[in-house]
Amino acid sequence: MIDKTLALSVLDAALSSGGDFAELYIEDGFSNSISMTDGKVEDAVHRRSCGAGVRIFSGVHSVYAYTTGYEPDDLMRTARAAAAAISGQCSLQSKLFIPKDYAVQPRIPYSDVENAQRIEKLRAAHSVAKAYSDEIAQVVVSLADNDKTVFVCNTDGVFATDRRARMRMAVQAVAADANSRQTGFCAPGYATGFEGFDRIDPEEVGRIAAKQAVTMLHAELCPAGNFPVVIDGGFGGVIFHEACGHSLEATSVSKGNSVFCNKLGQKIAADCVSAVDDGTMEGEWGSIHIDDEGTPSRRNLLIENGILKGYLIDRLGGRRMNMEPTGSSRRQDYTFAPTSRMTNTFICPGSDDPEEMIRTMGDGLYAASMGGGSVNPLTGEFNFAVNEGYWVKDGKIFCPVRGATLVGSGAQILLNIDRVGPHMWMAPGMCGSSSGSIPTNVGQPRIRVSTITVGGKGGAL
Amino acid sequence: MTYLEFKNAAFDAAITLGAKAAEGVYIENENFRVGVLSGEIDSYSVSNAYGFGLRVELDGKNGYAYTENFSDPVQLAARAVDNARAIENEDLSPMQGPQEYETVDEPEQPVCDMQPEQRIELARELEKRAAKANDKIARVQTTSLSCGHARIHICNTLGLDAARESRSCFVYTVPIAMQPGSDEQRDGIAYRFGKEVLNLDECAKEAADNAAAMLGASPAPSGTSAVLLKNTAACDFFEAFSGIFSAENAQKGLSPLTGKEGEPIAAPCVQICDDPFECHSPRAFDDEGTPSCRTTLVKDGVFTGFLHNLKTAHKAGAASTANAYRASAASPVSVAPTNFILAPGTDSYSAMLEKLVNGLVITDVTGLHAGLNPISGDFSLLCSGFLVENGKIIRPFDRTTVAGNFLKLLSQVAAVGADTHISPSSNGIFALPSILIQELMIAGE
Repeated sequence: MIDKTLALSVLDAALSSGGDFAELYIEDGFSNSISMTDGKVEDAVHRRSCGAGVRIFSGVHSVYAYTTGYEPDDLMRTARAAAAAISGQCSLQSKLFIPKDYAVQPRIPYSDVENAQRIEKLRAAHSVAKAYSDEIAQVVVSLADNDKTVFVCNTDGVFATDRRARMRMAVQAVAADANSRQTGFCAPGYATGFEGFDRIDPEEVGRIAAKQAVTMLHAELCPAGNFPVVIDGGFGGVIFHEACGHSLEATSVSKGNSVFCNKLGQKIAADCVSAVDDGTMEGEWGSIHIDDEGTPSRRNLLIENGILKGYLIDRLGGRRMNMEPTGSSRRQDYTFAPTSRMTNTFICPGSDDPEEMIRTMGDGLYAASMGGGSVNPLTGEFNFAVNEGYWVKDGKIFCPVRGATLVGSGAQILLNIDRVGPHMWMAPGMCGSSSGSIPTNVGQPRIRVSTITVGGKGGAL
Repeated sequence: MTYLEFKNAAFDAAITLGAKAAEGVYIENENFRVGVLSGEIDSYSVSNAYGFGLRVELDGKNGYAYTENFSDPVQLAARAVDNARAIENEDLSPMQGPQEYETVDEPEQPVCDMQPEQRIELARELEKRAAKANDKIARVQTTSLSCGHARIHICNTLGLDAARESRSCFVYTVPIAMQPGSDEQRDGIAYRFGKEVLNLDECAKEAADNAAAMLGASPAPSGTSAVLLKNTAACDFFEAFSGIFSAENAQKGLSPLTGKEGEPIAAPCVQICDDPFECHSPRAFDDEGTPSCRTTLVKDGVFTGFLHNLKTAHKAGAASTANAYRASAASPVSVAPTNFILAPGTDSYSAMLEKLVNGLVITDVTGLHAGLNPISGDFSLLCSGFLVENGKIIRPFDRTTVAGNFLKLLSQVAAVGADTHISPSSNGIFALPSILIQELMIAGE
């Protein structure tokens, strides 16, 4: 995207005022999104986005400047704008660049895909969802794909190129009767070209969303209070993402704003809990070949048998914590400076019987499908929504329930996990934080938590 | 190629490719942001970003393409035309010709006129004052000041030509309170925007008091309870549900207000309007260039009608309410409130506490992106605030959920305070006072 001479000039300009590290990031890519409402294509948008960002460190302080476009003039102007925020003398020279190309080419690039091919997938999902039941009142289906080339170089000699293609299909089904409207949602996604549809069956996606909407239409109000909760795999992993993952990011840890500060080597979870963040899983939604600082992604062990083993660290956080970066630095796009984030984060498989967990739980909630959530890393206080829940009475599934929200503190819930099942699977989401909205996978096997506060409208069952 | 050359070439190409009309929106943003930590600059960002969104009309259907690179107008037009041909929805998406606009007075933004050094000093000063504003404050987690300057140009081949510039400034601080002898930490936040940014002491004190007041919080008792939704929480909560007033959602069957025009949906004391001219965030036209107008949504508790853009208005046989909204130049036209205002009553916050007698004051709701369903109106949200007995605050609470249904909540509004809070949103502001609600479901201890 850029030759070495120009890259060097930009980094030199960035360091001219006394910074001790400089980095140039460039991206150029496009995205398509198309949506279908009520069986008819409603919107279709194509976007081309390109720009660059220059980041300078001076000790643990950072400056970021960005611009749309990446012509030589744009880059030099941006480097000077960043350097202007630092006042000192230039005392450093860039190391020699070591060029590396990490790009993996998509098998079917989106530039070769016609709208008609996308619409065919939308229609397949819509038809199955709509036909699932007379109670399905509305189906909204969408498909988003993008392909971008990313370049990062820095004064430590990094000179790396990557190409990233991603796609995600989403179906929202609405089931309605005279009294109520309930929704079902299913949205698989992969870091691949259009060949991602080898792994996604649009009809199955439509069916799952419709089934959830209809099930919830006939659900009772969830009882409120403190109960044992069984949380299924896949998007159930959002519990770990919120309750623990965010609090292990250097963004929080390096400034003392996390409940898990200074806890390396200490027990923070039940013995049956091990957890990993792994950006290297081929084609997975949260995977990256390199992070946005040019560090190759890797598998990071976070918790092993309940003991805290590692954090997720970016370069700046690493400086503050005196630790090595972990290939975890990510950003939405060039309009954000990167920081420590998750990739594919999951609780590792255990050995407990998934049926026994429910059989021996007494009265409680079985959360079959989770919605989104959020956490305050400082206090560890989290919340997340249950999209599809079932009330368990005396160890047996009694009826579907809706309107449940799980709340609590992350430090406590990790210690309260008392069962971990043998089969782990993941589901995609968009994770929002200070460096923007990025694709991440959450995952876990089916687990049981001995007690969580279940919020809801307080149905009596 | 300059923007204007590029735009004209893209319009020509679109018409050549068969489009009946073409419309462009150009947005350029210059931004400045500084974060300070312990008196030092912790992060600093300056930027210049721009983009051009092309919308074409072909057989009454719209196709969109967006770019940040002004080198190939023909390809951009071809993408937009190709996308228009893919549309199957039969509803017309019209564009309009020249319009006349009222002049609006931009709010004062004193910080936007300052040099970077002065802005940095303001942020440092805010941090310093937040650390001292309450003796429970142990440190300040984040303090940030940002300024923006946006230029927007909307024009089309029918002669529409609308331009505006807006400047903004926003500051916030997050101090952390600790109880001596305990490792409990609580964060509090306060922000100011526009000319209020200069009221550093007020902002610092509000944030510090918010943090200190939460020390010692524990879950609230479970059960039904009367709730005073404090003005800050009311803004967040109503913003999350504001999509129910969109004609676009209603026409797709995605709003619980569908078919309820002219019916009472709220207690008679509830008055809601959308006012694009409100002085904190005035604008002369919406994102389709429709001249701004004030729209009543709820009058004496009765739902008077939805917010429209040109497309939804055409389908409903109504006029646009000037609520066309594009989240960015890359986004399709949708519908959103501009300045959403729930009219204040006459009671002060402390008078509202006395009216509550026994119950909860909710000062913060979280999980709004997940714990509420704008299609059914159901919500179940994490909240925090204070337990109130006999009109007096007894203790703080957290790790508690509040659940209910938005329409039911509207009908159970018992009183509306006089203490309007103004919260900036992506398309204007939300201005709401504290609201007393007869009964909501609480789950905590």
